[in-house]
Amino acid sequence: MTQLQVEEIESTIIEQSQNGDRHAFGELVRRYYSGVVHVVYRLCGDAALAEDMAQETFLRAWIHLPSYHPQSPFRNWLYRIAVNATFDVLRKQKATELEEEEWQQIRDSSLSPEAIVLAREKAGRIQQAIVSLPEAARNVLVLREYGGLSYQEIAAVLDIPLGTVMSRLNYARNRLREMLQEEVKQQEPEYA
Amino acid sequence: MHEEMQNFLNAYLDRELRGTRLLEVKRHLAACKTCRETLKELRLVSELLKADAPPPFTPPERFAERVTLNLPRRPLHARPPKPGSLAWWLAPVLILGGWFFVRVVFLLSNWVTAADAIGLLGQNFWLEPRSQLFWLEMARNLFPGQIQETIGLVSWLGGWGLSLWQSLSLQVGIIALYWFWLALWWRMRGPRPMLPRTAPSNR
Ligand SMILES: [Zn+2]
Repeated sequence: MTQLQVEEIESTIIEQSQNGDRHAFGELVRRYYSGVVHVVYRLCGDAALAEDMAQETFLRAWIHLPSYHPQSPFRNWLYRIAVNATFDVLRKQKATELEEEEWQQIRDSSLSPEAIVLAREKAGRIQQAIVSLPEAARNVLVLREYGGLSYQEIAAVLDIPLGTVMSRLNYARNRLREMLQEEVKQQEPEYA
Repeated sequence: MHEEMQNFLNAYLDRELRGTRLLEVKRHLAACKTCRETLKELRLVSELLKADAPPPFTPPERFAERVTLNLPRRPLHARPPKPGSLAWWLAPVLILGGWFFVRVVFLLSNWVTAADAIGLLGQNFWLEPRSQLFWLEMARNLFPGQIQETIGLVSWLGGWGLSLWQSLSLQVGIIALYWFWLALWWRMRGPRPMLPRTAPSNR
């Protein structure tokens, strides 16, 4: 199949979904889920939460699908919804953190110590470093490294100027370079 | 120079530089060891991030099933048809056609009544609203029950003193207004997202 044919099929599926075809929308979900859930995971650093957020993203997309215009890629439109949905939730979570901590203690008490360690280790050092970045820089970095978007696309998705994309990406990569010094050095000999 | 060039190393790495800026950076990299070192580290960071495997997620098939099961009923926006679509052209044409049909049926019955009553067919009498009304009155007397409604409508039109061509242009005007309104609505709706933060209309 040529690229053009693929695009044609895709725009048909999108149009069917816009007209309320749930089956067609299911096909869109299958196509874009992996990209969306990965980007969201990198933003929040929690696999279970990422799946919830991916679901939230697709539900919002379903509701607002009639307002989508096919001039820009569907993937970018989804990423925009995903970024907003994720930070909506992360901000809300921060507000109820105290309450959450209490719940966490209750939940943890039913787990074996090994399970707790495993859960904490799950998000590795690299992911922890990404999540420690400020929200604005994290968005840009994740869309670039895991979303595969160009600077221009990132600017459109996040509604920020191109220059801001560049400066935030500079900040993010330089911070990561400092935080991941050990890992970077370990990798270096392979390239020497 | 060196300070400025450092700001472009990431863009260089991501192949986002073009033209003179790209040449500038290349030239500086050839001359500056510090920048070459920084670039190498930035590349390693980027590769490190990409190599980091994500945790296993629910497979797409199962996830899509779950999502489609949870889809809410979408509020059906009263969406006027898109310009150029079939409905866009059909709606006013149907209105016009329907009106024309009623009009023609009425005129024909008028004619037949006239021919029947007098035995001759008038020249241009049907263009004249007053003669129309005259024949109407006659028709009403001849066929009271059946054509009462048609006659009511037409005598109402006649009451306004509208000739066939006047009321035709009135209809065309209404249809033009309808199209104008649809076009206006379409323009207004295009660039504005429903909910700017969560549901962008892309640009
Ligand atoms: Zn330099």
